[in-house]
Amino acid sequence: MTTRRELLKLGLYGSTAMLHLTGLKLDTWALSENKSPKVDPRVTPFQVDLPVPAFKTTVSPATLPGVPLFNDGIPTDYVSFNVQQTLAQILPGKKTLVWGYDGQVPGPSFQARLGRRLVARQQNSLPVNINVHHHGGHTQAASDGSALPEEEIEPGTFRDYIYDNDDDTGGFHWYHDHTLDQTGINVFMGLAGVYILTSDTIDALNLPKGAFDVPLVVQDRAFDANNQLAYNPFDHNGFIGNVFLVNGAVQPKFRVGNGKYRFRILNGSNARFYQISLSTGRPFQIIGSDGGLLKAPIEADQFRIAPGERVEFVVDFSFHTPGPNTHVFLNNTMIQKEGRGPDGVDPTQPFPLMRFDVLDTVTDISTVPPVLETNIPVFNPKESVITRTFEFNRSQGAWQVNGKFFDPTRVDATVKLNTTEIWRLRNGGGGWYHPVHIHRNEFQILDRNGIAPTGAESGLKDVFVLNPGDEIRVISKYTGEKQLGRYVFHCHNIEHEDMRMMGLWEVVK
Amino acid sequence: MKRRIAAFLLVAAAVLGASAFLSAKSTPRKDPYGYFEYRRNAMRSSFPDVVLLTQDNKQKRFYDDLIKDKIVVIQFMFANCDGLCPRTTPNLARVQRELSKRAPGKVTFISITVDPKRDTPQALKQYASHFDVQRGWYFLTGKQEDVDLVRRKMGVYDPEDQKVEHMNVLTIGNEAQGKWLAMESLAKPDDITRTVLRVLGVPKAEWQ
Repeated sequence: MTTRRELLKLGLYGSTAMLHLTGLKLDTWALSENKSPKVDPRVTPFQVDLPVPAFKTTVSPATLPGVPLFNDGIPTDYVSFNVQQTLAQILPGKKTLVWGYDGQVPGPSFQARLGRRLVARQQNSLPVNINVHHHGGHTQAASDGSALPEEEIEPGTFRDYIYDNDDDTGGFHWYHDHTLDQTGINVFMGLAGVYILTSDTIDALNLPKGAFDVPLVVQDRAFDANNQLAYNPFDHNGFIGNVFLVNGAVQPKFRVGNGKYRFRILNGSNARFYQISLSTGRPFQIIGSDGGLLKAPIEADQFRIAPGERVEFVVDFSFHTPGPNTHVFLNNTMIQKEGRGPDGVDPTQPFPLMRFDVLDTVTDISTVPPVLETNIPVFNPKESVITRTFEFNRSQGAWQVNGKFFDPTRVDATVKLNTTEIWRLRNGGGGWYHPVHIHRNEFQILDRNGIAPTGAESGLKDVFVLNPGDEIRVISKYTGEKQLGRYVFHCHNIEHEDMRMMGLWEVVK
Repeated sequence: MKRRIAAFLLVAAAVLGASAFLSAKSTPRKDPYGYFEYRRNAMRSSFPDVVLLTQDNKQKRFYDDLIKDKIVVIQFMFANCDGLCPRTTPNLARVQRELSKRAPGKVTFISITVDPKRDTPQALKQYASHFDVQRGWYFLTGKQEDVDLVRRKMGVYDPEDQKVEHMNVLTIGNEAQGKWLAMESLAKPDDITRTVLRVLGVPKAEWQ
């Protein structure tokens, strides 16, 4: 712990600069952990309302010169983003330079439907290269945003991403930057948003809908003395901040009614883990994981969520009498002092990420059906044609997979389309945590250290947390005729990823 | 009040200047918020301006003389290393040769010893002579505390054991833009070359 603090101490800065057009003066850059406050003293919780990112509206392809057009009878929608810098108010009364899809942090939400193709134009108005990854999507290789440098969008140019939204069951995905070596700062500056893939079948379930279906993007940040985002690219262990945002707002409040709400929580932090619970201690229903709805809801009173993971859960506020003093807090009880990984859960130190103000009396006709998703693919271990092993390890300060560094030109595994494989993911030691993300398709966890998964981990997953000493076996059938070509898998502690704890794999016919 | 007016005039001048620039060249401003300068200043104190000695026994200030305004590739090593260094230095020498063709004179290579007591300028000169090291590559030694300070500020040490020197971490930066990244010293030379070109801001059409 001392070493971490020492490292942060070394992050003291003293110099001046102007944010030209705003007159903002930047003279020091000091990570506030320098003085070791657990929370930045500039913030006061529950001052702002929870922002809910708007759904992106579609445009006519005629407005997008050069965009791909299709005659295959598959309905196709078009959306267009301008990735740009903007000044946002995050700290009270202060302006902070952020990068956002359409200048928003988080970006506008995708609203996609199974069987409808979506084409997204991403115009880069930032001064740096970007690359947009659809995390959770079953996406054609060229549109996946797999950290391949030749696919980057340079300043002043655009790229059209094609999301087929097929060969899937729907789910709570997200999109974020994936520029090789620079993902940490790009995501930290704001490049992340929500992607909801639904279907008629999912819509027919009587789950909470509309205003009662709310994404919660949880992220930690740090600010310098001039209220600007403070990111240290020399902290290769994992960024840990001391300001907590939900949907881009510091510990917001959210006015709710005394009914059920479907919350879709995404851990969009670079390296921080959270243990989520309600201040009432009441249980809720976990209904979904990374890969969409579970077969059946699972009752729980807390869950862990690692960088890149998603959990959907339904909270019932009907136990509360609406009133100005009826508050329920969404708490984090995970202690984490450094990027290496969480230090453990401490229920005596709940930290409120946001507050629900139960104010309204509502008529709630929604239910949590006992059966949620009936179409979850079943992967049969007996059909597995190969078991591959990937060990995530550290070597003289750099991150490796199977003793190798990521090489964007070297394929580490070639998978045949429509075959089943088991991948054994192993933690190479040193007390580090590695939330491993595999692109392209979901997996079922067979076992973690020989034990079958429970809770949200029993659903389809695309992020697998390797705790120290862990070995996880995951299985998938690599279907999807359109998804041929090269994809990556990597540690979703983004600082590890930027140090190339990543592998390249491809799917061939 | 006067200061506020002055500040307003400054901002107004900047806006007017920018619009004039826009109308003259009709190209979008690439960095309207001064992001690069902000990042540069944010990173400034990661580079202590300590005096180090080159393999030619010349004094150089680490920031002012070697980092400021430069595109740099920084490695930590020591001459008697029998682990990674014997492989990383020739690996970097290949990168330097390639970059001398593709971006001549633009990239500075810096190798800093972590064993300054034994690695005198002469020892470093001797070490460098084993490799095809070209101009623009500094092998640096200095006081132990200065060298340690540089290494720690650049995050090149292990949280458990600060004595582990992290020979594998190669830091690449564009100081004027405050753009920094780290990769592995033993990555393929063409991978490192391409990464340096990207940091340099070379369009991808030219490094693909």
